[in-house]
Amino acid sequence: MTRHVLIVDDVMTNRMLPGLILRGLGDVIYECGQGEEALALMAEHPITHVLLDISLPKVSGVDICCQIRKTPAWAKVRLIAYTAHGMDPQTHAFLAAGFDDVLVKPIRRDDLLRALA
Amino acid sequence: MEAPRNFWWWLRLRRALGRSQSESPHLKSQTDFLTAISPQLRTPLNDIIGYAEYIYHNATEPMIRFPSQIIFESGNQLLGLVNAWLDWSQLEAGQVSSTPTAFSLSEWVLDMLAKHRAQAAALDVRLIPQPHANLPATVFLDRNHLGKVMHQLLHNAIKFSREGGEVKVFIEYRASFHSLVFSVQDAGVGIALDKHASVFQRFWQNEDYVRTPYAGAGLGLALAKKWVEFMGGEMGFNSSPNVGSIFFFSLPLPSEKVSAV
Repeated sequence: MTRHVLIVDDVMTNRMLPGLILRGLGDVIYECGQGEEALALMAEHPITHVLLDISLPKVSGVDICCQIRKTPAWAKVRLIAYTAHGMDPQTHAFLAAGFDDVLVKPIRRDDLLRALA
Repeated sequence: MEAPRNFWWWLRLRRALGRSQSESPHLKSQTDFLTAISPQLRTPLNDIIGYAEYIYHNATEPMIRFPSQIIFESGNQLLGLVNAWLDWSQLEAGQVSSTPTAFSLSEWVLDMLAKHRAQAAALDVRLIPQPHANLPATVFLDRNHLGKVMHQLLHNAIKFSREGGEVKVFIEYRASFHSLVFSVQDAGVGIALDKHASVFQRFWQNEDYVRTPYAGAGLGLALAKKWVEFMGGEMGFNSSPNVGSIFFFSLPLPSEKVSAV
């Protein structure tokens, strides 16, 4: 089944990177730089996976994660934190907030593919 | 050469004397600083390492693949330094927590060696696992923390090996201490006796034998020792110039989670 991956990151180059890798594998990619846009895109498209940065302008990635987890229609969406916050306690906090996995920047191709699987 | 018998007496002595630990406000502010600056380093590193790997993966021309590989490797070196620096300050400030899981040591050691096969192959060094037969079937430890220590010892053992040399990894269970002892032995350049006292000091490098301009920051062994002590163990070594080195560390096991073979 084709993956529909939404990548949310306010740093444009960080956002483009997973998109470049995943398009090459046949995934459908959606990108945006803010949390509210992410929720709007999810309402419009059949998103299956979300790579979500934590330090976003206005609403944080953790808050967006909580909102996605509260919506029954998105119960099966795989939520992956895509973050530069790599300290141990932070990683645990992201998992506790409802993320399925945490990708700490800098990411490697293999780590990205493993997190999406 | 093997881990000396008197290591156990030394261990007992160290335990009896206890270890003094101090925490200063200075350490706290250093960790705060690093916590704040870490994302600022990781965000550009994501571009450097990520795009270099992307180019390497997709380019066919050697003139593009080779430079992208260099960018990738240098980016990873920088990342290693950032990670070591963060680990150090978090350990100093007592801000590290453990997440133990149950796993098999004999499988774990093969996994660790597999991760170093490329480095070893480049120097034609053979990696030989020697887990002792009396090991518990599973242990309950923080695999990530243990992996950091073993990585550092393997990395050094390979780096300071001669071409065509051997690196052996021993793992033993000592029932009287309910402890594990891990040893990594190389037959490489060794460390001069007058340098032995500085081996675990930060920023120390075995500079007589530095082969490349990328010899490291001298944080590795000091950090590995700190991780071992965080896990309740002790680290030591034996080394002779032109004979080789053996680095070993003990690790106490939590009593109830161990099942015998």
